[in-house]
Amino acid sequence: MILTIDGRAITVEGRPSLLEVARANGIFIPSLCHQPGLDPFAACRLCLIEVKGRKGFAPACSTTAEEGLEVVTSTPELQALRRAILELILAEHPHACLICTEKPSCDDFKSTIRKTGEVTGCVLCPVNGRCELQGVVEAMGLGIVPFPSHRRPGEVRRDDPFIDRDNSLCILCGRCVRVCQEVRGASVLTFVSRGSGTVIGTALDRRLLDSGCQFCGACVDVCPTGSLAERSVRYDRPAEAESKIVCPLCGQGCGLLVKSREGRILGSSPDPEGPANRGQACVKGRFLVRAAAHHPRRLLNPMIRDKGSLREAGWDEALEAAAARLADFPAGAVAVSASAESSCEDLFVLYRFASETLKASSVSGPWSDSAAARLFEAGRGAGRTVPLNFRLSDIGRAGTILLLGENLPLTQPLVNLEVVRALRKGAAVISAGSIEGHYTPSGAIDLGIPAGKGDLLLSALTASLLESPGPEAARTPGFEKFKMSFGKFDRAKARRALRVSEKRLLEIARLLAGGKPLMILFGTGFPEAGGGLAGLATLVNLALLSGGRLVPLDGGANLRGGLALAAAFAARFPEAAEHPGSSVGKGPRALYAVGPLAKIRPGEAELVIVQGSYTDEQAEAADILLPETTAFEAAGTTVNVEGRIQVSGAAILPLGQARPGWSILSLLAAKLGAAGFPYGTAEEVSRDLARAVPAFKALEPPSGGSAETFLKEDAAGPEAFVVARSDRISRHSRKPVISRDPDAYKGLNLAREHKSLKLVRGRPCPRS
Amino acid sequence: VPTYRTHLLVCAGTGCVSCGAFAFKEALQKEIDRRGLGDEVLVVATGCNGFCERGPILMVQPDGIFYQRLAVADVPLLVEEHLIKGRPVRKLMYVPPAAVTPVPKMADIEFFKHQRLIVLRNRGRIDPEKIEEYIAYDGYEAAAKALAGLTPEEIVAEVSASGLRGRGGAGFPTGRKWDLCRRQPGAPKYLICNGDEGDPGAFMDRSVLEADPHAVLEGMIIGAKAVGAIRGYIYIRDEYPLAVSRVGIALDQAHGLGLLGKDILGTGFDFDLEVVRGAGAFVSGEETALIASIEGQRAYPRQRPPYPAEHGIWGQPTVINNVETWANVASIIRRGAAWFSSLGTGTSKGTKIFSLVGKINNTGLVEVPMGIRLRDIVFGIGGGIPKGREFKAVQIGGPSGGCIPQELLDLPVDYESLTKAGAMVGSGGMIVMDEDTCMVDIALYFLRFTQEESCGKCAPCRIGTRQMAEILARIAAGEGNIDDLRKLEDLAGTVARGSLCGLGQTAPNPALTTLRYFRNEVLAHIVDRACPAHVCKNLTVFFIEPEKCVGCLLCLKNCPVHAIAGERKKVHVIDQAACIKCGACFNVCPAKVQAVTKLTGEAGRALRGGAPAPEDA
Repeated sequence: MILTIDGRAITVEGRPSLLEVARANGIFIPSLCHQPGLDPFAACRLCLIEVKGRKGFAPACSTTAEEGLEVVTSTPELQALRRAILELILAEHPHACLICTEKPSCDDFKSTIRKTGEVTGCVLCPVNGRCELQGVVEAMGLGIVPFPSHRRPGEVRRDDPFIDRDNSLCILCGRCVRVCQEVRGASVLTFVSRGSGTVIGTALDRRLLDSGCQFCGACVDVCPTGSLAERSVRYDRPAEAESKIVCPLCGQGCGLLVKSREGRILGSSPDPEGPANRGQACVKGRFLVRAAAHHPRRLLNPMIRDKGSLREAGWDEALEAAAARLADFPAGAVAVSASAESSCEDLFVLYRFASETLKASSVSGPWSDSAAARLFEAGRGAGRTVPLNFRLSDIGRAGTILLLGENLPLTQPLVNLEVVRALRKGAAVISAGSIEGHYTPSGAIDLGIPAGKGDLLLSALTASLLESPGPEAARTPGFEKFKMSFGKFDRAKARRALRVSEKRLLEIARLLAGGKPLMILFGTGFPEAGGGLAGLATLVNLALLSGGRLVPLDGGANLRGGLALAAAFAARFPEAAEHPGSSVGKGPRALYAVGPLAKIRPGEAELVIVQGSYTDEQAEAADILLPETTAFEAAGTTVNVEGRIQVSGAAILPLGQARPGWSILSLLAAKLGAAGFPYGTAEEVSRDLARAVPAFKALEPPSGGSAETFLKEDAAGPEAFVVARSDRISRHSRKPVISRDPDAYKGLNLAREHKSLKLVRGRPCPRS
Repeated sequence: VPTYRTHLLVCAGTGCVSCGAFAFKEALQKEIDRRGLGDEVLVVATGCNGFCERGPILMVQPDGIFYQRLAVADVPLLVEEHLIKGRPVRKLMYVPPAAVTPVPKMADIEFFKHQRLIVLRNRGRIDPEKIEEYIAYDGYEAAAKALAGLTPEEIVAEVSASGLRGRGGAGFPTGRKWDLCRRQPGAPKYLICNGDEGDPGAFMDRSVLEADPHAVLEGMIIGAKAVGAIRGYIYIRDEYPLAVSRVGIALDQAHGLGLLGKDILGTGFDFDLEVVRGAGAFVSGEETALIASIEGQRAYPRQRPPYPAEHGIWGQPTVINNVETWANVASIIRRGAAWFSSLGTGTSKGTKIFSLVGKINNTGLVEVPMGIRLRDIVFGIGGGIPKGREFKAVQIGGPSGGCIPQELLDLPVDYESLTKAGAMVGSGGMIVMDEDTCMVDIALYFLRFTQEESCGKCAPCRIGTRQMAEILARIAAGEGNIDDLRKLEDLAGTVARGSLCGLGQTAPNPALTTLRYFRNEVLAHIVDRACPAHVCKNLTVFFIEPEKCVGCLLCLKNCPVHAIAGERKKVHVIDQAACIKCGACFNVCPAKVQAVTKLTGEAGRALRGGAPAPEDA
């Protein structure tokens, strides 16, 4: 459609607001409450414009573009009105500096002046220079505020981790309240009181910590002033550099913008262009990158055991020692453990090193027991390839979501945002989990069941759906056999055990069979203990019955990458890599561990080499320690929970003597005389990886890991019901489900070691 | 059905109830039973008669006798004389102001005589808690007609032709609103009845809901058919417990008779209603804020368009109308658009209910045809100003309205005329002010009201009303300067043109009309530092005229701060430094003496300067 703004004919697609159209076409309209991604609010009234044929003035932010509109954005009257409104806003915001004529000369003297308790002017403000109010005042050229000024009462709230709240700087644009409700689904911040007494606060004026805050920092990121500020960077000097990385602290793959100065990270914020996170992050990505990168336990130098105790050594010495000791072990005598936080490059070289150079018995990694791996295996039980890739946005578009026991804000923050989005669009969300407390998003159906009854719940739902199966399910191969094997189901007994009413179960079954796009989200925590593969078979069948899509949710920055590499290299090892932590069995006598190490009993291994980024007691029991870079210091490729391949940059140079994993391994391999090593650059590795492993074909130029690249999957086989075989069940049900700590990164557990995160995680499970 | 020779209609509106109407009714019933009249005389509790100032009220039918200001002690006399001996009790009848002979019949009382009842047609004659009585007076006939015999288009056409406009204040044509909603493709659609009446001094919605809840229900059933709505909400502020209870009873009864729910009256039409109780914010009366409130959100208005007719509650097409608007609908359908539009002016049809309060003899609720002159309301129905004071202004439309001065008393009361005069029909509050009212003080009162009741969402309203109130407070304190007038007018323009919703857009009206019609009074505050009405405390001093003072000690004893010195039979003197200007001395000084006077301006300042210090006295 075509409309006219200030006499200019502009072609517009979709249904954008006039403000968006104007901005896209370089027409300046001031605004303070508008925020892309949030519903229009029309509260600051600075974007008032005139639309021909309409009475009065309309805010551009909430006026939708229409064919043929004639819009005027700037008349003397409009400018006078906007100016008057801005003057009113400034009457309630410290504005001495904003209209000060001496500002340029003041800039020379304000280097440390920001270390003040109370902000009374821009020079004392944490966002001086980045403040949107400053920008608007400058653009509109305000010289005087002709009203008595008011300071909003109350002190700066500093009683929460990470975030300072200073109401005296607030202009009540409501962005924080809206992002908290609309995007994060947390509704922690709200408007309190009314009229000129309105302030931003929490229910009952409690701390954020006691109000269910996720500390995602979204409110800080959208705040146009310094009202909501990240405490740790408040008094920092400006950054020198900003780099884009993929957050390694969990498996969501958020793009982060990391600010640094003099080789140290200052802070991070979510990248609005991050393909997975689109401007959102979680407490770790937003507030803990600096702490993780510069933690005191960071391993900075190679160490070797000398006369019983560890001492620092140079790289040459350490690698020589490692090569010499490893050379003593015959094929199959060295076990290798890998980490889900290593990049694909590191893992690829590790797999090559283990299979070609060490001829190790196995490479174990946390992926072997992941939800994705178990789902894949359950599908194989029915002779089909289950697709593991998905798109987060598909969850947001779902009509029905069955969430099985995951504490999404903790383990899958981006998935949580999509569930919130779906809820806002009217989706039905059923959250099943422990009756003692599990995460249920606000607006979802809370289905609490007793511990260990996950399988039973799935069976009960299956029984309900089997009553009147859809025609599609009934046509699926194996249906009759499955129905027979399912047999009779004692519903009354199940209800009693589940402590759920018949009506409730029927309601949920009806929602699942309702025909709307259904997503079933599950992680390793559900079905609870005792389920194993049998539970997963039930889940696969339930998905077939309801026409739902199963979405496996795992943690670990590169778990899916590890899983893909493990599959690609599986044939090269005598035994399928399956048991993480049990790497030192009867055969192997030496261990090469990348990342965290399970506790090793004395005498269990003759040689332990640890390649890691952080030290701890376990690591210090090793014979040789090789310092590996963290993801903040080295570029690398990772695959997030969706199966999305992303290339991360490095934010800072390697700390201490640390080297990227692939570099350490290839140097070591070279020392052991292996062919095809060493690699000189990470690009060489990823080129090799793309060639050698079909799943990573997307890494090959020209796409080279750009925004929308996913792991290549085998074509999904025809759907079929799984009829579980009891022998498989018994074999797997013995194995305890390993739940990975979601706050661990390369052996550094932030929830235990960072005081603030400890406070955040120490709260009871949020119920909404 | 038993018949009775006499019906005793006891008013059970909130005003009368608060004066003891229920106790009176109980005593009356007991006495009637005691005298063995139970089979002949029926006692009925009706909705509000509107003459709230005179409660408790009793109407005797079919005689048409009107009793007022009744007490339990009056019961034996009333029963003995009127019901047994057939002699109406003159001493319980209404005596007009400045008259001595009582007026026995309601129809002859000035307050009732000029009213024209459409919305309030059942007030004082039926028991609002009995659906049968509503039906007996043609109730639900219009609903039956609409559901069984009319198409949605025909209903909308009839309402459009009637010229009915929104009675909530803005006066949007009801038929057009319905038509817009009817044409929306989305489903389901909803109806809302806005009963969040919050203007100071306005209580017409409460009275309608209390006196004739079924009229609202019937209007909504007809509206539902017209737009194709499946569900409706009646939003009532929780400060109206009696209205909430009566609407609840009405809903139960309507369900019981198949007038709500599935397959209404066997016509296959489904519609249901529920009551939502408001939590008390003034801004909830704004339609988009009200919708947010029903949805469980904070009552924040949102920018229109889109209008609720396109994008209303739960994002669906919604018709939201005021209580009084809904209550008009059934009469229009029953008696036809031509009948309705024969009342009123060219653009404002039908009647409008006003609550007549303030310095006026007959306080209460009146329903008058649109276009009636203000003078007829104030001096005809209202009976003029008490105590022989001069009329000064009438504030119409509450915090969104303005003050109409004496010169405009012949203004016809309709949407356009009032808006042109700077006020607005608003929800229909009419506050009459006499010469003792300071217009700066009134403007300040209303601005403080909007400042406090502003939701705080948009900047011009939140901050602008505060700044305006501060300027007015400065003027009231005698600290204003001439530039403040320009500032005030500029700010008023910013707030009116910049604000998001109707609350802010109309918030400057009280101040603007004050500047427009009472500029001299404002200037007196600024230039002379005087408050001509002797209201603004900073500009007023209390003074005991030595020639008049009889030394009775009354003022001295009543002064809360002991600022008055004197002895019995000796002239009392106020210590101006200690005086807090509470006015207690002024109020207690006997009417025969009137020694305490108020001074302002130069006279007051001279007195304050020359006041003797306490130790010198």
